Amino acid sequence: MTSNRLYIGLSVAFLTAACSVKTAPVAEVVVASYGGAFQDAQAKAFFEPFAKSTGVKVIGTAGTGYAKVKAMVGSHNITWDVVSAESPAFANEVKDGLLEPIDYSVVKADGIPRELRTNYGVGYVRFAQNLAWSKTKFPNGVTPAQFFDPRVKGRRVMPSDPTYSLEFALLADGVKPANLYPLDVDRALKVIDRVKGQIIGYKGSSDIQALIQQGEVDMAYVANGRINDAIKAGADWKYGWDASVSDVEFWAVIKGAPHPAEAMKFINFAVQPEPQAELARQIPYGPTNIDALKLLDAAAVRDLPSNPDNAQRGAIFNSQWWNDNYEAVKARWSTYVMQ
Amino acid sequence: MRQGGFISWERLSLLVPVFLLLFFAFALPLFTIVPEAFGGHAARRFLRIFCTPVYRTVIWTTIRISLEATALTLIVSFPLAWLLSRATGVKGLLLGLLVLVPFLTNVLVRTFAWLAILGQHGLVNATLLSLGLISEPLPLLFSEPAVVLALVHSSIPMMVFALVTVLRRVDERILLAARTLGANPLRAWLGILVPLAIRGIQSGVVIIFLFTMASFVAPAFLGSQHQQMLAQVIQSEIETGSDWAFAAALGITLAATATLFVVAFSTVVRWLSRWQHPGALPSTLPDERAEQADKALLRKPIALPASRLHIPAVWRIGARIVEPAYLAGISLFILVPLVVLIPVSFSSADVLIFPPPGYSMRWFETILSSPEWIAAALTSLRIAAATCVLSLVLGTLAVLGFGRSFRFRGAAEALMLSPMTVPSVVFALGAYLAFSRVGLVDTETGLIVAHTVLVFPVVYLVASSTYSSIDPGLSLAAASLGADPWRIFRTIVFPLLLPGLAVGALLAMLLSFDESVASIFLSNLSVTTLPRKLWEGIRFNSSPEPAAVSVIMLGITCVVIIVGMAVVLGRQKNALLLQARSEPVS
Repeated sequence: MTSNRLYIGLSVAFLTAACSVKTAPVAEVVVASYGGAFQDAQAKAFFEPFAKSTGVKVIGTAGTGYAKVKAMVGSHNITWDVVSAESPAFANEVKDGLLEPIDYSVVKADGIPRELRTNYGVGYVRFAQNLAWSKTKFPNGVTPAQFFDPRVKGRRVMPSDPTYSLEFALLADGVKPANLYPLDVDRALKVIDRVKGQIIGYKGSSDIQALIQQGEVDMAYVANGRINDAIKAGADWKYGWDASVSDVEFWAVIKGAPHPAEAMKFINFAVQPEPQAELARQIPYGPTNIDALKLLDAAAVRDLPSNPDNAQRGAIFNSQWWNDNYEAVKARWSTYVMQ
Repeated sequence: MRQGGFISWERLSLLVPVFLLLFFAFALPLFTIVPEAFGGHAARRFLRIFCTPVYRTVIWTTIRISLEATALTLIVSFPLAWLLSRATGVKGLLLGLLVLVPFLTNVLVRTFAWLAILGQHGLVNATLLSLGLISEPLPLLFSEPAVVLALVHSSIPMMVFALVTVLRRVDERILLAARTLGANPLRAWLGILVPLAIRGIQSGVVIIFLFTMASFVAPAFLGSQHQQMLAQVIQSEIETGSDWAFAAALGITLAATATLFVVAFSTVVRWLSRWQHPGALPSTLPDERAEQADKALLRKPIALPASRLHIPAVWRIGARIVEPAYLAGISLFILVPLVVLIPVSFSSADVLIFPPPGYSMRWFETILSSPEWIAAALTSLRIAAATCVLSLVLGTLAVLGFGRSFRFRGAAEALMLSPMTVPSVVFALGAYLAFSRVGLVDTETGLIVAHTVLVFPVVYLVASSTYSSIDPGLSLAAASLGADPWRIFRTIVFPLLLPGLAVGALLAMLLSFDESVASIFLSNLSVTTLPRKLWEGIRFNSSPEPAAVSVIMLGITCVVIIVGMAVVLGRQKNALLLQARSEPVS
C-alpha cells in the first residue's frame, strides 16, 4: 500500500524521537492481566516472588482481552508475553490461532487437573457465579428455585450476558449439572420469564456489586469475589453454592511473544502450590492446583470455588459450547431481554 | 467568488493540514477496520441490523435519548450561558467553576453518584419518605429519565461553553430596546437572544448530540434493558464478541445516523441563520412589504396603557424571582453528585459505597504517594497540553480556511465532524491496528494524534461559532486601509477569536484528560494515562480511587481557574473601563 509508505514516511520523525531510548536486553517477561485489586493480588502472589527467585523482571500490565490480543497479533507488534484469559476469550484466542503452545517440558504441575492443562493454556484460578441474597430481606435464605418463583417477591438482578444466566436458570429448574450442556435455551428463557417482571436489570459485575452495596436489590446472581467484597464492605448478604457455575482463568502465551522462554518459566511458577495458595490468601478466588488447598486453612477453603464440596453443588462452565453457540444465543438473549 | 480564484486557493491551503490529519490519523485507521463490515456477507450483516427488531429498537432508542438529552441540555444551559456571558467578578468566577464541575468528576463516580441519589434508598427517596410525601420508594432508577438526567448533567459544560462565546457578543441594550417596545422577557429572549445565538446553539447542539449518541457508561448503568443505546452494544460487541465485522457495521450505522441528523440540523440552522444578518433579508421588494405592514396597531392607541400598567410590574417581580430561583435550581442539579462524591472520596472502605462506613484519608494517601498515579497524571497532563495546542492550531486553520462562505460547507463540515460521529471504540481499534504499523502504539505521540483527531472538531465548532459572530466589516475596513491578510488576522480576527479559542482550549484539555477508550487501546506499557488507570481496576474492584482523583482534580482546577479567570477578568474590566471612557454614559 502506497498510502502506508506515506504514513510511515511522515511518522519517521516521531518514531526516532519515541524509540531513541530502548532498554538493554535484561531478562524480563510482560504479563497482561486486568489491573485493580486482582492484579495487586497477582503481583504479591506471582510477580514479586517469581522475580525474586529467578531474577527475571516481571512487568505487569493491564488490559488483557480478546479484542486487544487479536489486535496485537494482527498488527505484528507484540509487546506482551503472558496473558491472563477468561475462558470464552481463551477459547476465541485458541480458535483464531493467537497463542503459542504451552511447553510442558517446562510447565510441570501435577496438582492441576488434567483438563486444565490444555495445549495453549493452563487454568490457574477458579471463579464462580453464585446466588446471593440480602439477609435482612430473606433471613432464611433463598434457594435457586425460589429465585425463579414469582411468589417470592423481591428485586432481582442478573448478569448482562447470557453466559452463566442461562446455566443458572436451568440448574434452578432442576437440570442436573452433568446434563447441562448443550443448554436448552428455550427452557432457560421460559424459567427466567417467570420472574421477568421482578428483574430490575441485567448488569455487569461491578454494577451488580454496587447495587448490592447500595441496597438496590434483594437477590443477585453474582461473581463470588464480588459478593465477598460486598460482604466485607458491610453488606448484610449471604451466598450459596447451589446452582453455582464455576469457570477458570487461563495463563496463555501470545503468539510471537518476545520472551517465550521466560513466559513458560513464569507460568510454571504461577501454577505451583505455594504461589497458588498465596493468591487465594490475597483474594477469595480458588487455586486450581489441588495441592494448594492443603496449604490453606480450612475456613478459607470453605469459601473457595475450588473446594470440592462447593464445586459438586454447581456446574462447570463449558466454554467450548459457548464458543460454538455464543453468537446465536447472544442475539436471542438480547432480543429476549429488550422485550 | 467575490475576490476571484486567488484568495480561495490561499484559503484552501489553510485546510491542507486539517485534511492531512483527518486522512492519516482518522480515515486510514478506519480503513483498517471498516472494510471488514463490507467483507463477506455485507448485505446480510446490514440486513441483520435493519431487519432485526432488536437493533431497530436500539437505533431508535439511541436517537430518541440523544434528542431528548440534547434538547433538555439546551433549555437548561441557555440561561446559564447567558448569565455567565454577562457575569463579571466573583459571580463570573463562581459560575465558571459551577459549569466546570461535571467535567472534572470522573464518569465512573458520577454515574455511581446518580445511583446513590436516585436509588430505592437514595437521597431523593429518603428525603421524600422522611417528609411523608410518599409511602413507597419511587422507581427512579433504571429508566429513560435517569439516563437522560445523567446525560444532561454531563453535557451542560460543553453546551454552556459553546453558547457563551457567541452570547458574549450580544449587545445587552437590544433587550432593553425590546422591552421598551413592549416585548415581555420571554418574547425578547425567543425573538432576539435565540436568533442572535443561533450559531452557538448550532455548535452546542451538534457537540452534545454526537456525545450523547456515543455514550455508553451511563446508559449501561442507569438505564434498563429496554433502552439500550447503540454505543453500548458496539462496546460489548467488540470487547466480548468475536464478530468485529458486525461491530464495524454497527459503528457505520451509528456514524451514518448521527451524520444524517447533524447535516439535517445544520441545514435548518443555516436557513435560520439569516436571522443573524437581517440586512440581507429584504431582497424581496421593500415597498411591497411596507404596503403589507399591519397598521392596525396605530389605530387603537387606547388599548396600550392598560396593559402597560400591570404587565411590566408582574414581569419585574417575576424576573426578580426567576433568576435566583433558576440559579439555585441549576446549581443544585450540577452540584448534587458532589454530595455523594466528596464523602465517598474520604471513605475508609475498600469499595465505592455511600454513605461510607467510616472516613479516612487513605485514598488520597494511596494516590498522592504512588509514583504510578502521579506519573499517570503527568502523562495525561502532557498529552492534554499537546492535544490542546494541536487542536487549537488545526481548529483555527479550519475556521479561517472555511471563512464565511464556502461552496461545499455542508459536506466539508460533516467530514470535519466525522471523528465525533464514529464510536470511539471503533476508531480506537482502527487506530491501534494502523498506528502499530508505524510504531505509534504505546507512545505519547500516538495518543496525542488520536486525541487531537477526537477533540479538534469540538474546538473547531466553538471557534467557528465565535468567528461567525465577528463583524466581517472590520476585516474589510482594515483591508481597505491597507492591512495585509496576516496583519488583519493578527490585529483583528485573532483577538476577537480569542475567547472562542480559549474556551476551545479548555474543552480540548479537559476532553483529552478524560478520554479513556482510545487511551485503553493505544497505551500499554510505557504510557499510562489517568483515565486508563481509573478504568483498569473496575473489572475486579470498584474502589473509591476515582472519587479521590476527582476531588483532587476539583481542588486543583478550583485554584487554576480562579487564578486564570481573575487574570482574564482583570483584562476584561480594563477593556470595559476603556469602553466606558470612550462612550458617553447612557
